[in-house]
Amino acid sequence: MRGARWRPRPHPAAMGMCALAWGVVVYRTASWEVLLAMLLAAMAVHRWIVRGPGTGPGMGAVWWALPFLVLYVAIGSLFGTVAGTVWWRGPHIPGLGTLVITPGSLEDAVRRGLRLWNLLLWMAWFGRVVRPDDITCWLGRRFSRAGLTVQMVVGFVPQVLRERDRVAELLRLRGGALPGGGLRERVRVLAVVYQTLLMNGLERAWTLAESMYTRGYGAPGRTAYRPPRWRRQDAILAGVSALAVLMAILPLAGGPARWTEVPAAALVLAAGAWTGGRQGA
Amino acid sequence: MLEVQVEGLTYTYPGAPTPALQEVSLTVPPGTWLLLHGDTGSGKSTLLKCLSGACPAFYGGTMAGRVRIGGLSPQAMSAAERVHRIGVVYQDPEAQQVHATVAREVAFTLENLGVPPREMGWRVAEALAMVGLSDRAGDPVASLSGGLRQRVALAAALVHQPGVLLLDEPASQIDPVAAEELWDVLRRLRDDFGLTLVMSEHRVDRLYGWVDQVAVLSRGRLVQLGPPREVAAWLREAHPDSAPVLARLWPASDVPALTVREVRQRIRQELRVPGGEGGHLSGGEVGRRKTPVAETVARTEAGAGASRELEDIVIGVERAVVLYPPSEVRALDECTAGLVRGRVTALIGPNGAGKSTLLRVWAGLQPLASGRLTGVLGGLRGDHPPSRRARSRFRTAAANGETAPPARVAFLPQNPNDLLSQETVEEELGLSLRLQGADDARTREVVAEVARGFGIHPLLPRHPRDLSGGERMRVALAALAVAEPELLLLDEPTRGLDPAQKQALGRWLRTGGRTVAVATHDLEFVAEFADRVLFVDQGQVVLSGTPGEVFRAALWFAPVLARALRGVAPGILCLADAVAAGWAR
Repeated sequence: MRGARWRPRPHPAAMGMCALAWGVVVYRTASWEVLLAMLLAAMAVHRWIVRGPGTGPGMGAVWWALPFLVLYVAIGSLFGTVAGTVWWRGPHIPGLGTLVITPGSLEDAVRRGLRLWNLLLWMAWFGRVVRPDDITCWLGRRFSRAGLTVQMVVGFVPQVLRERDRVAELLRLRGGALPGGGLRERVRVLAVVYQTLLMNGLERAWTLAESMYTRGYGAPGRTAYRPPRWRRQDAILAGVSALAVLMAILPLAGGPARWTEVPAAALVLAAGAWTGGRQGA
Repeated sequence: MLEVQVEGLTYTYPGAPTPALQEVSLTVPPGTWLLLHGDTGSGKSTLLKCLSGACPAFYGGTMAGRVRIGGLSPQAMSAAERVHRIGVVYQDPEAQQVHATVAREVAFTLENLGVPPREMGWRVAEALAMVGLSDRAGDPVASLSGGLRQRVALAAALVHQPGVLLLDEPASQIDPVAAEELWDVLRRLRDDFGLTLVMSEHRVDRLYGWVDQVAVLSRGRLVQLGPPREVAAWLREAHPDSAPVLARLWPASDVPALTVREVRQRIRQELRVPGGEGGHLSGGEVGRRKTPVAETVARTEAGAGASRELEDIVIGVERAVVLYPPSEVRALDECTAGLVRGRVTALIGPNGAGKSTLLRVWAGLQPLASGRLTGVLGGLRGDHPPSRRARSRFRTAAANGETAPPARVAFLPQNPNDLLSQETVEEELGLSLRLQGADDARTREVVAEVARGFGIHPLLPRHPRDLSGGERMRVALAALAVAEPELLLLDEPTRGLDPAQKQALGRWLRTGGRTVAVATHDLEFVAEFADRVLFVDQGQVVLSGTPGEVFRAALWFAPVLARALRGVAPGILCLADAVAAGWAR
């Protein structure tokens, strides 16, 4: 963004390794307290990343997911074992057994919810720090088709979501009552909306393909414009990520992971130091 | 500098019963700018696709005859050879965008051609400089206006220094000022770099003064080819509706005028020569003549009085503010405006001025951050900003009771494809009625009637997506018309329509006492059919009045005829005025 202080762009490969390591560490961490601490630390990094004019808090996706995670935790906590303390006993459901909430089932559900939220937050961080063009460029040097597919999906999904709202609004003006009608009517209207989206998507894909054809896509010997550079900070982040993965998976043979908070803290610090303070990509 | 040769070209799309192009032959010398002129569906885009090699290699179909770009057939060239020779710019810059940032989007062709990275830097810098975008290299393409996006597409088509540039209606989505800037860039490309330009365009009035040759296509056949003045003279006699507006002045003259400057020179000459053609109408006389627009003004002001009429606002906004988060830019910035009952109101102004937002607010699709809705319908909807719940993801603004649209509001979006979802045009037209619970017999009856009214009856069994842009626009308009709307909100309804179709649309808008708002860049259409004009800029109405008042005040945002006759015949704004005043036939 113009006017902002220039900072070198993180390499998508280093960011990808960091995201992968975060996922491994999160799933190897058993303590919900540690998971909560990791989440808070990650939120702090995320907030640090996106501070600056015009970008907003950037936590929309994370807060948007909160009700779903609460629901996920609530449902997950219903499947405790009947042995030990039982806080609530529900009906017996064929195939699922008796619904029971125990301290253990609640803790387990909270742990799983925190893991999911952690991953979601890290994905939001990745999407904000890494430019889609850099992914395309980096992938494109060896896997051009994969790179372009990623690029198009990145651009396609938000476009379709925006279009879905727009088409639904227009249809409502034409007499379709999407939010207020009965189930049958809503399904009928939704079918029209998705039919329009499908047709628009196909047409857009065709136009884009034609444009790419006329611009020589597919010719052999493709090169890349200003590919992202691998810097010292990327190497450090990649190293920390690799170390974190090792620390998280090595105990697999000998039992549950311990001290996962150490690689987690190292990851947060390394990622924060490299990407903190920059505006969204 | 490459020559374009087409000999006996006949092309048929796969499954089509008739050829889209038949026996087309033309030669475009190197460094020449050729304009393809023709009605909707005349074959302009298909000819460009044949020149680019997309037909038949990409589309399939059968082709007979020869196409040569610099002596070689595009079909016989390798991908690299083809791209080195030919650059292509499409109608919709968004649809052809591959990368997210400006510089990378421009460099895409270079990447495909395997240009070494050290060479890409200067090539991208030069291409961006050519189109005046040097300072936007790092910006996201999505943050640019429509006009600037089209320039990015132009830079992307020029970056590899092709010999021929093909442009398919490149100005169809940009405002008149941005279009003039684009023509100026193209002129420099031709003059300074010897580029051969082949371009199709619907808004040709200004272009006849810029191009070297014009090819007129009709139903897939080349019917005229030559210098613009000769073609304009021919069109004036053979197809007057399609002739450029300025060329229709001085009908008895053998040499039609093509530019505003030429018109002014002739006027000066004629005013000096008593008894010369047009000399019987002095500037003052023309100004005092009662023209159709003057009659419109008279009707407006004599009917109930201008102030009383303005009180009869169907819907309006007062100090309206609209934000599109997370941007802090105000799409509407304390905007106050209204639509008068039974009148056609035109919204004009540059791209991104807030015209479409204003239409969306009136349609009930866009909540206000502050301000209030006014008028009869605005009062029904309430004047409170929407609640947080209304803005939630799964409840669109229109779904909320606070901004619920009134009955029988029709909204035509910029992209008519958003309205087209059915398998046939007939089903598409009947969709509104079916959703409202009408029975099949009633639906068929209304659909047939509306289809006849819009002249699309032959299209009823066809798939809407198989139609040309102009035909799709007419189908979308007809699909809205079946519900007999009281309030009609149209965003760029003349895009892709040929002159006859525009006339039919304008006449339809003016019948039935509908309240109509039209956001458009087509100032000739506004001059002929609008009762009121609102000039919108930076989210505010900065000028309003009758077309006469607005176009006499505005210099750039005025129809070409009003510009040409400014100070001489201020009452003449459009061709209908000129015909009525005896200046044109």
